[in-house]
Amino acid sequence: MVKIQTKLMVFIIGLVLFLNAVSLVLYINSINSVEQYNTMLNRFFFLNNIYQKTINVNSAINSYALSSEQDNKIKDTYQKQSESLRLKQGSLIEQLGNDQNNILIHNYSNMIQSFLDEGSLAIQKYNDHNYNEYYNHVAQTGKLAQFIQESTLTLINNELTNYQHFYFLMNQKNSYFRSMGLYIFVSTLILCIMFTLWFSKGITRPIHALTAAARQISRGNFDIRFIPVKTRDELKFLTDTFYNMCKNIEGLIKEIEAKSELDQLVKKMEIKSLQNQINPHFLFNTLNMVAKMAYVEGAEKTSEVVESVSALLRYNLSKINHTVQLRDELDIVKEYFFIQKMRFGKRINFIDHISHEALDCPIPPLTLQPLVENAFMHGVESYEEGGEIQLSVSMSEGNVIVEVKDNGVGITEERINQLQQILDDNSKGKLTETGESNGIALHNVRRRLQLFYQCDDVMEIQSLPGEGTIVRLYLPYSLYQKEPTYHVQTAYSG
Amino acid sequence: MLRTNKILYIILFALFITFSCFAIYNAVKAMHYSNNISSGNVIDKPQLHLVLISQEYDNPYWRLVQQGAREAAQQKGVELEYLGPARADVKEHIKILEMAIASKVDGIITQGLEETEFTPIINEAARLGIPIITVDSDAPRSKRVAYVGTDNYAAGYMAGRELVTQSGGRAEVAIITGSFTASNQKDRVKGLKDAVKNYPGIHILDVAESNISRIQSAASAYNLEQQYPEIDTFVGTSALDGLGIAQMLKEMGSGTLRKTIRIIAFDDLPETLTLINQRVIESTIVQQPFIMGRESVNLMLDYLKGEKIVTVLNTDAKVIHREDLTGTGD
Repeated sequence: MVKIQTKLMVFIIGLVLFLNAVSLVLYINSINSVEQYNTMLNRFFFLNNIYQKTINVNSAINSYALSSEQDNKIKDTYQKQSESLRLKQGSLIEQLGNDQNNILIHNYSNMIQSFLDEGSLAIQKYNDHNYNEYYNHVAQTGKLAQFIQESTLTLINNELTNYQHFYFLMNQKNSYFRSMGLYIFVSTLILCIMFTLWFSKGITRPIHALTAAARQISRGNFDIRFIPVKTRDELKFLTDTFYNMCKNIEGLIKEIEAKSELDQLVKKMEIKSLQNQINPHFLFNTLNMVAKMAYVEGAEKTSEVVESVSALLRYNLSKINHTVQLRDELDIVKEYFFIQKMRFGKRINFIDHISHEALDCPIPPLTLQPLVENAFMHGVESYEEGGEIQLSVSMSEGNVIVEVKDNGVGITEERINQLQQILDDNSKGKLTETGESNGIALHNVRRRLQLFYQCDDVMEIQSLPGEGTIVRLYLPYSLYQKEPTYHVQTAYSG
Repeated sequence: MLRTNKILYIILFALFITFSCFAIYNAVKAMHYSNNISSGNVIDKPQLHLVLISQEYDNPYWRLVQQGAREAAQQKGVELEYLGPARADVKEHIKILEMAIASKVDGIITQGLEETEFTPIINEAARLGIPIITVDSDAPRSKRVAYVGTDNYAAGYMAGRELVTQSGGRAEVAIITGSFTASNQKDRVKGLKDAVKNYPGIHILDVAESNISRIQSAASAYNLEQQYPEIDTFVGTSALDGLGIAQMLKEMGSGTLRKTIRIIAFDDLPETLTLINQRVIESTIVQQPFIMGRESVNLMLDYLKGEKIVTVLNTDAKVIHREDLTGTGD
């Protein structure tokens, strides 16, 4: 991931380095130019210096004779000036010599040499009191001084001619550098504009997209499109995270919706059971009293039946909101059977095969009893004798299989399809209040199991007319062994 | 929106590229100038340094002398400096000579000048150990090492004989000479006069100075023509005199002159030869300036090597007529 900060830093540092390099080049160039100007000027100063010194030496020689013996000033001046002129002459060729003025410089140097020689000769003659010779030499030095002056002018002229060309070249170079600087300035400006546009687009575009998405979400629409970000910076991370978050929320909402549906179903069931029981508590208490009375009066059988009815009623009243274990369900089914047995006597037979390891399986209440009731009512009720209802609980591949089997009249294929139709319709969320009570019971059981176990294949119906019917439940027990039942509790808490 | 952005980017990018190219172009151009004042290049005097001082710096005749000298100098690998006054001027000439001496050159080749001013300087140079060779005209009484050039008296005499041949012994003659002070000119005039001395029919009417300038020569010729209308022959003893006379005659026009005027010139400048071809100039006494230059340098180098050398080296002079010119002029 390239951070925005990194991008900015790279660009700015790059730009600054580049501009610094450019200004360094320009700076070096200007220093160079100044140095060249200095060299030029120094050459002129050098020549001018020689010129001045020549004049000084010459005037010193001229006034040498006029000075008094005690006045050493002029002598000193002569000594000093001629000495420094000699030094200058020594470094002259080294300082000023080049290809163009080779001859001139040598001539000039020699001329100064002649001048100095002639001057010292004149002084020597004067000190020897050979005044005639002295004046001759003084005249000669004067002439030579004049020659030196002329040569100086010629040299300066030559230098000027050279420098004119040089100056022209330097000016041209500088003007090229100037326009280079200007163009670099403009192009870096354009570069900056381009970078700024690109950079700000890179930031604002994802932010705009995020804003749009956020607005959509605030309206309740979590189904947003993926926001494509070409860059690989923080914004990419931000948009990706945002997108994933939306998808998660969407999934959670769907889950919540499913659970609320389950709640609704339970409530409907509750209402139905309440409607079915008129003043059940009163009934329940009355039944208890009747049972006790029957017992006191010695009618023990009656007492037992009434107690069973009472247990059944209590179960219906109390457990509706709780998850129960398969064991409780089986107990209540037995109570129910006991009542039915009292009613039908030898006409029906009840057989159960129960696998004890499955008894802890959690199950919504009032699941098995309606199925058994169905088997009675629609299966074996009409039989005079030999009616049989078989309830078996077994384990298979981690599933608890509960089978309610009767050898009743059975259901025609047409009827099964019809039932299936009703079940499917209702499973899609429409609880149609039709007159099909058994259909509703089947549907209700199946739907509750589906919601409870969060899987679709929970119930199977097999039937042949005249042979009997098998209703088989598949309860995914292993799922609940691994996972505690919080799911269920949240589902039933409402 | 997206498209306009794209176009904007493309335009910006194109501008960026363009300006960058300009910047690079200018940078390359600027880097191209690596101008430094060449200073501090210590160039030791590797070779002998000779100076050739002419009578006049930009004179065609002296250019030839210079070319000869330069050829010899190049062959021998010595430095030759060519100097001379801008206009023929004795004072300037002497000053240049003195400066050359003060510059302590290794040898000086100069035109010899009027002795009284010139000799002490040559002697001073000799005292300082700078050899001087005179060229074109001599200073025989000075301490010059040698003279290289035409025997000017002989050349003047040659011109006199030519005059006699041309005129058949009868002529009214005016002489234009380069300088009254230059020894070569004086010798030529003397030789000419001596050659016609024994011919009573030939009268030398006057001698005028041209200061080796064409315009001065034309002016002098005009004055002489006005002063002596009987003139039928002009003799110019320096290279440009003949040309000046010819120019004067041309400007006056043949209408005003009822006679033909013959001109005898000196030296073979291309223009002179053209005029001979056009029959304006009758004949010319030809010297060999190129050889003079070359031989003077050779002689100087021999002297500097310590060899014994001839003190007078005369180069040939000859008369040239139209017939002698093959394929020249038009």
